[in-house]
Amino acid sequence: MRISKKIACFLFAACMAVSVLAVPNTKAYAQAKVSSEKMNITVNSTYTNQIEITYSEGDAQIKNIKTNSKNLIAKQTYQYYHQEAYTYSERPYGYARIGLFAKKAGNYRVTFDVCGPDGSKKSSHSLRVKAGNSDRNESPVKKATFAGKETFFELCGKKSGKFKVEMNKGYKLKSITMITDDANGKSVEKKIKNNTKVTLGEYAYKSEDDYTYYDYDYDPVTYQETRRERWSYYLYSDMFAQTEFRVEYVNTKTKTQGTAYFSLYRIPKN
Amino acid sequence: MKKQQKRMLCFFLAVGLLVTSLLIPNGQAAASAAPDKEHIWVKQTGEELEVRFDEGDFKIANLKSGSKNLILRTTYVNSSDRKQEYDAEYPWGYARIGMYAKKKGTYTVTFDVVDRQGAVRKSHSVKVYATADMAVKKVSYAGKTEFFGIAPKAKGKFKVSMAKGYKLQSITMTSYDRTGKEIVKKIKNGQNVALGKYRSKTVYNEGAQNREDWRADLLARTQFKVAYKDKYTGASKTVYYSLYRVPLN
Repeated sequence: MRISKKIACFLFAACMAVSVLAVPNTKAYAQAKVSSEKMNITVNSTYTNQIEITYSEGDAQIKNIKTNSKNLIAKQTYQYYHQEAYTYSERPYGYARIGLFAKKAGNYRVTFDVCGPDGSKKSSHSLRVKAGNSDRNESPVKKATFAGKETFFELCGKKSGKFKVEMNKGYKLKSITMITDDANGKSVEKKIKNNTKVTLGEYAYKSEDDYTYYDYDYDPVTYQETRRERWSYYLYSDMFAQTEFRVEYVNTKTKTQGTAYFSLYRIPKN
Repeated sequence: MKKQQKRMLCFFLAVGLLVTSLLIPNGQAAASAAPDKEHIWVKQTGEELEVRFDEGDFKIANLKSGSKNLILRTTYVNSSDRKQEYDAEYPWGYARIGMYAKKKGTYTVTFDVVDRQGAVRKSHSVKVYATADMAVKKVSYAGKTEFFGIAPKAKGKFKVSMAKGYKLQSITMTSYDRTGKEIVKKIKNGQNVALGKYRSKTVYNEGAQNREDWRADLLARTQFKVAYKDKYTGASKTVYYSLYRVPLN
């Protein structure tokens, strides 16, 4: 064979090899998928911190959950699996959850096995868990004031004033949005600058429907048709004209975003 | 029958007739219902009183608080000339009146329930007590008043001290057995109790297609339900306290 032909054959063979390997795997997961390899939790938090395990085909249960310290408790808190795939579901074979509770701060390890319905081991998993003490000073917003006062979620005596937010170290303010309701019950959002004067909302969200209709009764003997007016009435109203300040910030170290809300109330005009 | 006996019999029958005629319920037209008294927190949004409607009731009118320190507003009305058969509790609808107290005090709320023509069907008057006091002065388990994290002792005395004027009615303890089912038990104030050792477990689809779906708590929880009589309204109220242990299951 000529060299050019040999090269051409080689290139075609290489292409074929690559395309064979590049075909995407049609199965959801080859094995059970765990939500993350690392977790950060707070000590003594009875709010369950959960590891999520998405089952793959053949998986049915979690067994042998172990931690490397009696100061970290790990227990399965949720179990849901199906043998045949639910194709419309994000988790066609089901899923499980393992809750974590730390009695002391520290670095721990959790291990568990994912097994088939007969108990045979399908996959083994290991996670690192870091438990830290809750630091109440670690709240992202250091201080929030309106017209110089730190009180929120109460009836406000002032119609207008400056809304000011001070962030704690490690957090950066991204935006402040002021949300109120207009006279028609429609929500109004407006971006505002930190420490600028604003006027609080004056209308409470309100929805009212006085519905009347007619009922007709036909008498087949007298051929008389009687008409009755029927009615139904519905009213919903907020108690106050609410102004909500939505403060969006970012953790400069982890780059995660967060939101804090502050509300004030006024006696409504409507 | 002898005359004397006849007379006695007639007398007793007459008395019986009189008594039963008085016991027949008064056939008065149905009317709206609202509480006589309400106890609310000062400066607390979300406080409401409820008015149950009856046939013909349309809406709330002439709502007054008699004081600028108690703000009122009708926040919900649902009424109709057609009976809502599916709603056993409110077949003719109901209304909610929001209350916000700026200051502590006793207030009188008055309002009317009117029909479609605007005629007053019933006038109501509600006494509202706005306070900032706590009914439970102190609560402790095994001598400690802090209830977070894992309870250090498996057994201990659960004790509640009520504030002056509030009367303790009962304490009910709920924990779970080895299968995750609820155990409910009434206890005495100051009684030595053993906290639950197992966590709650709820099973769904048991036995279906060789699978068992379930959900369980992480920790073994023991919940104490404290029922007391409200100092101002006399109504029964409840408050809950929970303690947690590392579960055996």
